[in-house]
Amino acid sequence: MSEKQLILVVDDDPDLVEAVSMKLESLEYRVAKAYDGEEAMEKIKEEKPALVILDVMMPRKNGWEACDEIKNNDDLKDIIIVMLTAVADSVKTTSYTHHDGKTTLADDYIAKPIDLDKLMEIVQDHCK
Amino acid sequence: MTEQVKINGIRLNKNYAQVTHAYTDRQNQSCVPLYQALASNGINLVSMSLSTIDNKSFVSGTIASKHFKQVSCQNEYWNCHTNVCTISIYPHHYRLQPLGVLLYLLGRQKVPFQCLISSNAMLTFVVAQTDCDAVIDILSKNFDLPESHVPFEQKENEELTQFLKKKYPETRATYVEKRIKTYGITLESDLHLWSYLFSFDQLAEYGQEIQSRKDKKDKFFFVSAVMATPAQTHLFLVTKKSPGIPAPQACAAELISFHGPHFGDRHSIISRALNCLSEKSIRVLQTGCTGASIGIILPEGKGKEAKRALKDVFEIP
Repeated sequence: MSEKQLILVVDDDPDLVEAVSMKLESLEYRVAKAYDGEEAMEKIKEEKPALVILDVMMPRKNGWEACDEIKNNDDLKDIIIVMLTAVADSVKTTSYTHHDGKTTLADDYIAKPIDLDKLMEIVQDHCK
Repeated sequence: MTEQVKINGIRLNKNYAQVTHAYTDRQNQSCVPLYQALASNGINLVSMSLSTIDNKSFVSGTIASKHFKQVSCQNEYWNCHTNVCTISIYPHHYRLQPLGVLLYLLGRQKVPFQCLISSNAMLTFVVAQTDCDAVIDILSKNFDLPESHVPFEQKENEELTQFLKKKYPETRATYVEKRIKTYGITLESDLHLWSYLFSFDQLAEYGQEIQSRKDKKDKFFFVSAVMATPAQTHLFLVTKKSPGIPAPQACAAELISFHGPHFGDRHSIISRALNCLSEKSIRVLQTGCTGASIGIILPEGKGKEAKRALKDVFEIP
């Protein structure tokens, strides 16, 4: 890692945001936090993070909508998105899966309950 | 109190009931603890505060209103309040300042709260739903919040839930695990549990004292508070150093804290934690759970044994 990259953690559960943020900070990433989809979009436009960890079910704007907005915006589409989803098997039936290659909007996903170490591996893989 | 303390958000959950069970040790031998009774009925405790350090112990838990009828007639010693809501501010980063400001504001505005509990990120308290708008207004005006912040109200909307379930592969967590996954169990030693019992009229004064500890090294590890009577507040504060406010009761303590996925949405988790400690005859001084976090205060020297016992029930990565 040449310089500290900025990761945006978005979830409506503040305890989870704190847990993920602490883990990322221990790996020397810079961390920004948002607690709903609207706030996430504002921070993404302002701070242009390298990667966004994005929950699905959130108030004001859900994760799928935020993901669409990012990936359909020329200025933001290169930001890596890792979705947090409660039902991993179902994700494979949607267009939002890393298994589907070209049709993928999110770059990766991780199932809830999250394995924090696995999430860190995913982040590190994408932020090489 | 002129300086505004920075926080990131306020969270609101409505349509809850508060069930409190106060008992003496003698009564305790003949009744099932509140958390066990709720767990056996599959009722989720959204938040819970437990104390055993006085002659009269108590457990106070928040449950969804829809379960109120199920529990209201179960035990004559249970005291039930309907139409309450939980309000959380976050993150506290274990600073005494947001805690002090919150207590000061609740005291100054004379807003009685059923209980207050800390989690990893949040300070959560329970108030009557009729006070909810006024409290949100006070907090919004007195804490430094991001411009874009909107107090988040988590609503149960069956129609919307069904729609989202069809459209998006996401749902609320209701699963039960044989061994409950956690993100790790932390043990903190060399702590002190300070117990303050004071008139509700003094709450603002205590809040002011606490928030005046501006040294960044002064932090709390755990906090809970309850209305012992309609006129009395009982505050329990766990810190490393003395918070500088003389306490009539204090003892050396250890804190076990852990959190896990969907803890706040699932029943029986706190019950399983406390049962496994009880089976090993490990005394618990205080417990608070809210959101996805559980904090258990133990007598000095009991932490390691308790952590070992919890491993029977909880998975540690």
